[in-house]
Amino acid sequence: MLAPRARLVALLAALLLAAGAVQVAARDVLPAPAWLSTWTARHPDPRTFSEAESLALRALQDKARRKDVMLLFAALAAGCAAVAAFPRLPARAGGVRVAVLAAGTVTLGIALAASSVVGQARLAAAREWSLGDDALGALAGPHTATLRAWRARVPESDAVLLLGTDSSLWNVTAWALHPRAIFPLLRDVPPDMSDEAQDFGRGQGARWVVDLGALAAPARSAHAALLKVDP
Amino acid sequence: MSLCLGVLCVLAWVAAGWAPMRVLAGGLAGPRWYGRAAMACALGAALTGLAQVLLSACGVAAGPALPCALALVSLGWCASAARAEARAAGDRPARAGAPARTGAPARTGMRTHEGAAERGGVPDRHGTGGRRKALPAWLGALLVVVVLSSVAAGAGTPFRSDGSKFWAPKARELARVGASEAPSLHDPERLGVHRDYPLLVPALLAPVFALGPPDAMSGPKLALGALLAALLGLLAVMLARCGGRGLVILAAFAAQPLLVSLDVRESAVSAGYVDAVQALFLLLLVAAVEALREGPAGARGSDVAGIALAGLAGAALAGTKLEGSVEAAVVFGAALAAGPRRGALAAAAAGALLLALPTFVIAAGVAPGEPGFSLARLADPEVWQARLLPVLAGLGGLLIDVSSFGLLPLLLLVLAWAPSPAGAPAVDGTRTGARAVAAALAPDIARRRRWFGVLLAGGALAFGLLSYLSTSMQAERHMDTSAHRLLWQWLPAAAWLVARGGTSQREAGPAAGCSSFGGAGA
Repeated sequence: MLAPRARLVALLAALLLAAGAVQVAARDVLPAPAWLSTWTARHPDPRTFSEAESLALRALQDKARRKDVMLLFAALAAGCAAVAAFPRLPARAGGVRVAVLAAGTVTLGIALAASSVVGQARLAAAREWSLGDDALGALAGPHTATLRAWRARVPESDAVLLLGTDSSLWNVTAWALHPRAIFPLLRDVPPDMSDEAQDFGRGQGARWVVDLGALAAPARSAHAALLKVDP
Repeated sequence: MSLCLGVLCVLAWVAAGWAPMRVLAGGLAGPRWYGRAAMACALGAALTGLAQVLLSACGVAAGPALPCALALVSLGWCASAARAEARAAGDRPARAGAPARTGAPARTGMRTHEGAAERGGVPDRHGTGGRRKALPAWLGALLVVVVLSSVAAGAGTPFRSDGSKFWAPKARELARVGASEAPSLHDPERLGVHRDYPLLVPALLAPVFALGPPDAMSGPKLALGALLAALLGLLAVMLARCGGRGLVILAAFAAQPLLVSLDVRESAVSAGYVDAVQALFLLLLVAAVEALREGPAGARGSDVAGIALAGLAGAALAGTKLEGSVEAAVVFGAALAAGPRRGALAAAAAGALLLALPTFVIAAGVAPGEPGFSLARLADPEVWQARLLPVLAGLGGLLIDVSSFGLLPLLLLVLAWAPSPAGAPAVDGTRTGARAVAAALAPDIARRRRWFGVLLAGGALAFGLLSYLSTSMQAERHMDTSAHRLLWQWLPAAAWLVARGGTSQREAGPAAGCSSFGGAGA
């Protein structure tokens, strides 16, 4: 049984940690420690990134760091609060530290499980969560009808040359056009495409080109997203 | 329809694994239904997957025939064993006092506990049989909530990220054609991501794709979710045997955000990642290897079962993901270096290698792609200078990757730092200095003076470090996408090792602490 004074300390710790979580939550990002940033700036990775890629990765990491630290404070606060509320918990768990860490994780997990259930209900309402037999709508979103039309138009024995750099669109299009032979060109319509790709897919019947850039933004493109190359 | 096919697929795995569960791992699975179902599911998936990969390497498409055949053979064996048991029970009064030898386990030379065939194979060292404590109601409820929400999140959402990029596409292709002829594996111009990745999981999911409608994903994702449920069921049985500490760890493990979150990056199943399968086989391998290390000499039946179980788990691990081969090598290497019983361990490693041969043959035959790792980078001082500090910081940062693991890594560290005897608080704070460091690295090392835990932890850490130093990707980017999943693969086994590290000889029985297996009575 935790002594009353220890319970008070646990309660104060919970309040302080909760305040820390709120403070971190108010920030948009949490940058890496200065010593690490300085080191990586002085010694760049041998596999260099473009400026845009570096910025994107940095933003991703800073957001993830913020989330982790916020959840760390929140989970510890929940653990301390649980210990303060249930003084027998430390004895049962095997110590105060163990009780705080375990209770914090369980509280966080229950909260996230509830959030997952709510999220699934919302997705189901938006027809993005389904146990049915047609998941293309949930996968392809606004492109579903287009992809279905393409599937009806392109025979299974034909080849498709997939052009583009949008990885999610790429996966979705490849999924929708299965089992047609797909030849990827990870670039946005290169000028030398006809030279480089002229032999891709020969022997598969007719060949088609899918331009993911035109699929994503049809208004900005002068050509259709799906083009028949030959015969 | 796809969902029904997924359910049937899982039932086929369970049926196919039921006989192997009784023969190889009855003691480990325990008497409770969820432990037995989880173990049968794991073993059935391992057997079915390895057999599908073998056939696929021979050019056969992965259809439903093989899982159904394996399930029928297994169920037939179980029926035959049940009849033999019934006959033995009928004969017993006639042979007053004579110990009943049960059916098939007796034929395989397995010694059994408590006269039950299902306790055959790698036996139960506790000797407490069906008197083991059930999970507390609140913990059982937590596990049910986690399994339901996680499996629903997986089955109800489509494949995304790596799931839609290559795991599901590979499964769809294997449903049509064998791996030896699959165009995406052999034609360098075709769309094919990670051609050299092992095919056990795609081969397992292929029958559901083969029979299901073209855009259905709920069935295959339910099957993936079932393997996550099997991991939780097996871990629940193993940790429940480790007393209060095991239950605390189990609660924290089940509540990890990675298990319950809907978020694609932080979820074990919603994207269609296969890391839960990898974690399941790694846990099984570590448990089987520990059983082999601790098994008493002379229990030949136990040895054969242990070797078979470790070999099967090792091969399945190598067949699931690219890093599985290295993880299996780390486990076998640590066990062989630490000893004892190196002969049995070497036999298990050789068995794993043999069973994983089709995986290696397929990987060797695929069209070459850009290598993911270059060992030459390790000889470049510039690489070490640029990457060592960020990689170490990244690996250390996993301890507070709360959005993936909650506080579980910190909890395991705290518990590992101070293993406690039974009946005492889990954290006694009496270990100091070098002994505390040894205990922190591997909890059972200080207690039993064996190096398996230390070598395992060191091997896993070295693997992570060397992987990210030698990666062809930008190291930080590579860590961002994979380090949390790499750690998660080790977490179930680490949780079990830490939990058993805090159990005394007195609590666990005379032979080996909290081991879930045991010396078959000679």
